[in-house]
Amino acid sequence: MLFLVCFLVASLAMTAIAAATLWWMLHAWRTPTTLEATGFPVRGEEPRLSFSLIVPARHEEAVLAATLERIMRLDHPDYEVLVVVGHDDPGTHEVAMKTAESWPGRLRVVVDHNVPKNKPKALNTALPHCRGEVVGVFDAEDEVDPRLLRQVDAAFRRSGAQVVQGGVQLMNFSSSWYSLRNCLEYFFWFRSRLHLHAIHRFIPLGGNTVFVLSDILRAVGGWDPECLAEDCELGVRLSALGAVVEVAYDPELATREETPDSVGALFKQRTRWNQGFFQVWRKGVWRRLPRRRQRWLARYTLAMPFLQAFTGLAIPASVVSMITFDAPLALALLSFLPAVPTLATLSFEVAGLREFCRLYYCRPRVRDYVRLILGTFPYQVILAGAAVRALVRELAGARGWEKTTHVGAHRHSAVIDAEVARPASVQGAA
Amino acid sequence: MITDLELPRLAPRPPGARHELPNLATIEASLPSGPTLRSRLGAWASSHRSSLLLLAGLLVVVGVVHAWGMATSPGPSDDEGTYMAQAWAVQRTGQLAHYTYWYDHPPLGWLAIAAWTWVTRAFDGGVGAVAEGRELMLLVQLASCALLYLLGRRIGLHRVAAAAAVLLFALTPLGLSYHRMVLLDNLAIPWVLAALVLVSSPTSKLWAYAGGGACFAAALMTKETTLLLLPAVVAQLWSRCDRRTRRFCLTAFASSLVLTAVAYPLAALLKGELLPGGDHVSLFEAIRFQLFTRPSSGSVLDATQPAHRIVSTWLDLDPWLLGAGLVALVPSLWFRSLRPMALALGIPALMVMREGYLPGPLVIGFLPFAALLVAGLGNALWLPPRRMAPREHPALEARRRAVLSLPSTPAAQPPPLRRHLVDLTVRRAAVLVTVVLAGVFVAPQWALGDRRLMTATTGAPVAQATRWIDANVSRDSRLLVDDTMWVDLVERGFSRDLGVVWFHKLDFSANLDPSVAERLPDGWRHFDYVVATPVIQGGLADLPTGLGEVRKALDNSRTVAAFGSGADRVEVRRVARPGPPIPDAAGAPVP
Repeated sequence: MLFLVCFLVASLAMTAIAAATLWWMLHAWRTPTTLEATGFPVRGEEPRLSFSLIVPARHEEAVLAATLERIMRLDHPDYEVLVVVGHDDPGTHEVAMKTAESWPGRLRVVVDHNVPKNKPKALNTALPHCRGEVVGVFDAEDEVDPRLLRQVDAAFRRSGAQVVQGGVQLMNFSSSWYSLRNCLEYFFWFRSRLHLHAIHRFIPLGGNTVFVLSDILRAVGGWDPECLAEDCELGVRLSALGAVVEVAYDPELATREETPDSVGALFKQRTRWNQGFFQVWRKGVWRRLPRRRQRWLARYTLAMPFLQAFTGLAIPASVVSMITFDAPLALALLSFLPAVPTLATLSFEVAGLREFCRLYYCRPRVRDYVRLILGTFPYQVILAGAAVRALVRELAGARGWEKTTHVGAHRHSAVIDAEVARPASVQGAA
Repeated sequence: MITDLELPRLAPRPPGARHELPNLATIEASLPSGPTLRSRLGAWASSHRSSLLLLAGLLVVVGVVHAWGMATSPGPSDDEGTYMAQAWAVQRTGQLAHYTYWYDHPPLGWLAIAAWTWVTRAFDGGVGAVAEGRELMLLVQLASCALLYLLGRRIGLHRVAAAAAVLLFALTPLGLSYHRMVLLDNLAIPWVLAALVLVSSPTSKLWAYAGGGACFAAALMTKETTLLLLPAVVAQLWSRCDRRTRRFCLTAFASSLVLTAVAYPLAALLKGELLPGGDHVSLFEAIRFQLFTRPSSGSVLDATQPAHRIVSTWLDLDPWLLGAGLVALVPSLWFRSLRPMALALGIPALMVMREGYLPGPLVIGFLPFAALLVAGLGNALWLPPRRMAPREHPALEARRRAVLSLPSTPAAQPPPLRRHLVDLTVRRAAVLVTVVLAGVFVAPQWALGDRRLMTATTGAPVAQATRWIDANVSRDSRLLVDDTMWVDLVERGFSRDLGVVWFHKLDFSANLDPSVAERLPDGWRHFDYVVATPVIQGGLADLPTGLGEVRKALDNSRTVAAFGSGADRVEVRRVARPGPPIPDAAGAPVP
């Protein structure tokens, strides 16, 4: 009897978690009006704000020059770029200096002497040197659209927001079996879910294409140097202070990135994020959010990696066990209940892949749909593994920064050459 | 609250500073608190006042006509008895059927009936199972009418036209007769209409499409023949949904439909009854039977075939609504908003022409769409074309414009072209003439038919026979009955285990469950009484080569009590068996 009650409660809880996640994932498509509201304002006004764009780079010799060349050619009249390089990273430093020579005054190199190094420390190092009214962050491998900054300028002025978050999109969906799912995660997150967070005024910000009024950024002391998810932490802190965040997404303007180049790298990156979320949870700033609903959203969002990992594995397990152990009909049917929102999510991911490809002018192939469906469970296993590892690391006090390496797989036009980013070890798993 | 945060303070800033973080108290105050539920309901009610008043009036009229005499007219049919018996089995025994459930229909319909009988304690009263079920049908019919009105409004009908559709749907004697019966089709119709209403969401709300899919799944799990209406629902979704979010709306509809409906085969799979094998019933066999091997009803055009008799029954009750619906079908294809409704009537109508098994209640699925097409065509002819386009609710329109920063007033619609005016006069004249002609010729026929249904007592002899058996027949007798009195006799103390036996179970012409025939190998000789009702006579007429044991029971028995006269006559007949009592296969002697 106790088992039955526990099973019932667990089933309903998993169903609720999966259904809520699905509903939030689909926020942007709730009505056509909602979808329209997620875009940038369409206005031809002249830009009025000045920007300082920080590009932290660590061991990025391979991609940094191209990134900077591109960022220097944005069509905004008033911005400067600050590249942050480590004092122990002469290769990147050299690339940065060389590029800076072509843009005297507008592109400056800041050397970060912190030990050990991480991204928030690099950002904080650059912050005092920023002269613009708005501070923006880009990563060293980002492909930034030249029209972005003008639109961000307009978004600040239209919304009166203190923070503007632009879209980020992983592009190399056909590189490997997991990159497809990884791309779709970004797609649903920036296209849809973040807008919901902006409306409820609790937002874990993204790591780049994020713009904050510099006064405010300085007033709150910049980024938390010890947090592994400094972007999320900043968002939560600003939300607790009541900042208004505008999220604007336009597929044309989204900053393009690449997926981690191996399953191992994905696993490490996810571990870092999860651990960062966990740190933000423990820090407890979200408890200061004024509304109960916001606090629940915060609880849920920060715990999401762990809930997702749990449900992703528990749902198949419960279905299989109910069938194998020949449970009574009602109980066996009940064990399928949590699978309903999960399968619905899968069907929306199929629709999402189609939509993604329509927006980014590429053609999904049958192989991609097959990968999407067959990849669901292995991907869940990776996420679950990363969630467990994150918990273990955090509780053991291991807070080092495991950096993701970049090879530039997103730079090969929209339809990506699959061989570039796929290491031999993954081919067997695909 | 900010002050006790361990965060850097906001630096004091000079006057005229541009960027201020608002403090938490002002934020909390400035966040929209959202209108209360009560104020929202009030606003909704006041903006729909005319429709609500009109609909309330319609429901009163429809409800009175429907309820007046519904217990006794039309006479109870075997299907009604079966569904009530299955609902009884759900409530009293926890099983899906009073005999073995052989997947004849999906069970949601009688699960719903069982919920109703459980809540109202229907089986405890003495009114009779079928009459109790018909009370539920009244509610179902009211729900269908309200949904039909809403659907009419959502496809762009004027209030008057939507109200006309409801009246056509509910007042045709054909509808009145069938809507009163406890039939799965009646239970499925509100689900179908709800699905259509939801996929016509004026603002393309995503949840509405998910809800539409779930409603259609419920319709399928109530009566599988509603699958014929799926193309209409999908067409409606496709034509109504905003292009920008259509892919996701379609996904919401499809995934919610499939994931809900899959519960039925999944349950069969978990019970080990999905595929045929061994000596158990299976979903696969049942579908094969319903679609392929079930005896055909023959051609509608051949006067000797059951299909012809069924269609004649429909047309005898009222030829006008079906006829007008079919006539309206072709011209309504001209109007985009009516096309899905034309599909909803056209596809099932084509299935009637096919020479398969034709269930009589199939007509129930025709009526709402025939009514909607007739009213919709009249509406389309009466109004200038541009008015048929669905309009956005003013409030929503304003909000959309605000979000998109569009000018606050919509651009003025161009006035209808001058040449439409002549055309319009002709069209309106045609509509008026049709309405007048219908008022003169059809309305009196409907009034007559409805009055007959409101005053007839066709079902009374069955109730009298049940009372007579209760008073005069020993509880250990074995009776061969139809399902309309099965529950009532069991509730009066007869044994459900072969004390009262449903006549179809002695035979396999419309039944795949061998459990009864195996235990009564000598057929009619095991019985003490047979109750000859119009249902049994109708069954014999429908299956001229089947039901041999029932015929023999009737031939070898004499009337001990008779009620009613003519076609309604019910006879309680004592079986005269040669020789000593015959034990049944279980070995128990029959007294």
